[in-house]
Amino acid sequence: MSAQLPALLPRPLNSSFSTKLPTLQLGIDSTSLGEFKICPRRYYYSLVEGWQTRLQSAHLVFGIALHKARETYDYARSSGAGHEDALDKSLGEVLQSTWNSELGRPWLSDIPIKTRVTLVRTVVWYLDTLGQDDPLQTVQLANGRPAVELSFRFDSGYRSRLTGEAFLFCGHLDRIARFHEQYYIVDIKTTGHSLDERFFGQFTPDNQMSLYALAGRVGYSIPVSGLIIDGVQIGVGFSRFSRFPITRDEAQINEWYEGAGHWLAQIEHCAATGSWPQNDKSCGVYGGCQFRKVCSRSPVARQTWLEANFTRRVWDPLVARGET
Amino acid sequence: MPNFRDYPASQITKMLLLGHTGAGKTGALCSLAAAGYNVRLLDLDKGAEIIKDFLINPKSIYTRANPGHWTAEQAAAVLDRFSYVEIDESVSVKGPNLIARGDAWQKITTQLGAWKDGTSDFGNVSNWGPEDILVIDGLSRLSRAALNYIRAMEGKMLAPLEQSHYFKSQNLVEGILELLYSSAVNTNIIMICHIAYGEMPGSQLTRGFPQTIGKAIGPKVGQYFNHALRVKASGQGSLEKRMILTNTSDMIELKSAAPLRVKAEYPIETGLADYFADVRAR
Repeated sequence: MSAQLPALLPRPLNSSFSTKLPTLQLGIDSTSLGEFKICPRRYYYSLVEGWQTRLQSAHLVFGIALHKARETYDYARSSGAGHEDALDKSLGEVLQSTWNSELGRPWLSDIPIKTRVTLVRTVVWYLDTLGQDDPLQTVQLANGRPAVELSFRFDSGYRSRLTGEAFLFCGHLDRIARFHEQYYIVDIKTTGHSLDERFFGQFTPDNQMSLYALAGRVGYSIPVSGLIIDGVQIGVGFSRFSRFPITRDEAQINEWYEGAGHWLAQIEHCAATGSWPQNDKSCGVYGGCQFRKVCSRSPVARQTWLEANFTRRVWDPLVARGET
Repeated sequence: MPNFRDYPASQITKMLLLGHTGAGKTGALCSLAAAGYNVRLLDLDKGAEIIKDFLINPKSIYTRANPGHWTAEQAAAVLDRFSYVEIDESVSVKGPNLIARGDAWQKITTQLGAWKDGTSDFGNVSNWGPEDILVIDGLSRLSRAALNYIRAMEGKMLAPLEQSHYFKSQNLVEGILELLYSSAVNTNIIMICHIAYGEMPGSQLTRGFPQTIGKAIGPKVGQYFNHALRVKASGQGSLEKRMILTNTSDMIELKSAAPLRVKAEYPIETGLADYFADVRAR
């Protein structure tokens, strides 16, 4: 019996996919690879078909706004603004991005610790703590811009056995900073839990950090020594910050790279056969899969459910955000 | 089925060398250079001065033949085989305080990745061989460098120590230990350590452990080394005697990967060279 999924709707244009085998993604970022590792069916729905829930996750809104705040702050500082002025610009960005002008009201979160108020507080405290006089100095690129929201792409060394096209590794880095004589990729991660060994331990091994470590070695002219996590703990009445260096030695990077080759072959196999199996052991992890209610229905009813409850977007990691 | 008759005697020794301050740990390294090893010392303790006298003083036993230990030819080149790189924390002055910059850790990891000693370039430590010995003197300063690095990157050098600073720096130190112990590093390692007393995990027994940061990893350090020896000074004045011990004593657990081939104790002057020879004997 064939488990092939029907593509009932034409997919939006996405430059990260093959033109020869349209369901084969060639531009692979950590999100795409991570989704496939969790569950091929989840990957199919979210990356190949581009479905996402109509209501954006509060975690996502909060995370995007905090990243944008840091980016705005770094741009302002880079153009000569002092801490207070840069913070003002950053807050202006946050307030604007969390205001729904169509409805004339602020963004309403369904998570008590991640609200507009805790976001503003977190931005102010974060930039006061790890922005002003930051020992990690944001690198200034040759074009005069700060090294924030940097897009990267490079040939993975793997090729599609079906189409002959190259798989590219790509993505976007939050920031490259200099600490003493070395350069680091700095990534902000938020959590509602303590910034303890368990929190930082989740980044080793970790798909995203390993790809970034590889990108740091081959994707930039800046010789990157490692990665640093800016951990942000958000509580109802407080926000805390802690930094943690993430290390990957040569052997660890090679191990990840070899594993990636295995996963790319799996992606290709699924694209070629049109069969994207469910990993039903992953349905409950990471707070529960957003497609669980889809997969829990009969295959014949799923498309209707998707169209009724989800909307489509294009996740194209090859679209550059900043300067490489 | 592999037979232990064919099991090769190890040509690589990864060793903890424990001892209290002044016991003679650093000076004990000279016999290895005299015996033909290339000894490269990462001096974090600023304790290399003693080596100079041992290697250039004509009265020194290391500058002439010592039958049964090293030849005149080996002794003649001892100075060329022993080199050191001193790494220290940079400091800045802020009011009445001297503040560490937290840059020693980066210098250490850079040095291990590309060993440069003046004009000599010995490359990555993982490319060294059985005739080379990396000595890190010592673990206490290495750990302190990790702690300073962690605090400095948060701009908290003057702030009180936080609990998280311990696990973060311990994580870095364990990372280095894992790397040095791994098969990727196919050279000899000697990690010089001071001794700190504490309780054995899961019991109330007091034991001496390698001194590092906090209490969590001291008891675990030994697992990254196949050999743990101790340098001990006893007696006073003309009766003072310095020995290298291989058996557990004074609540300090020692070990050897060749317990039946090595002696219970060695004289400090030739001990490390003899120990290396004994564990390599078939």
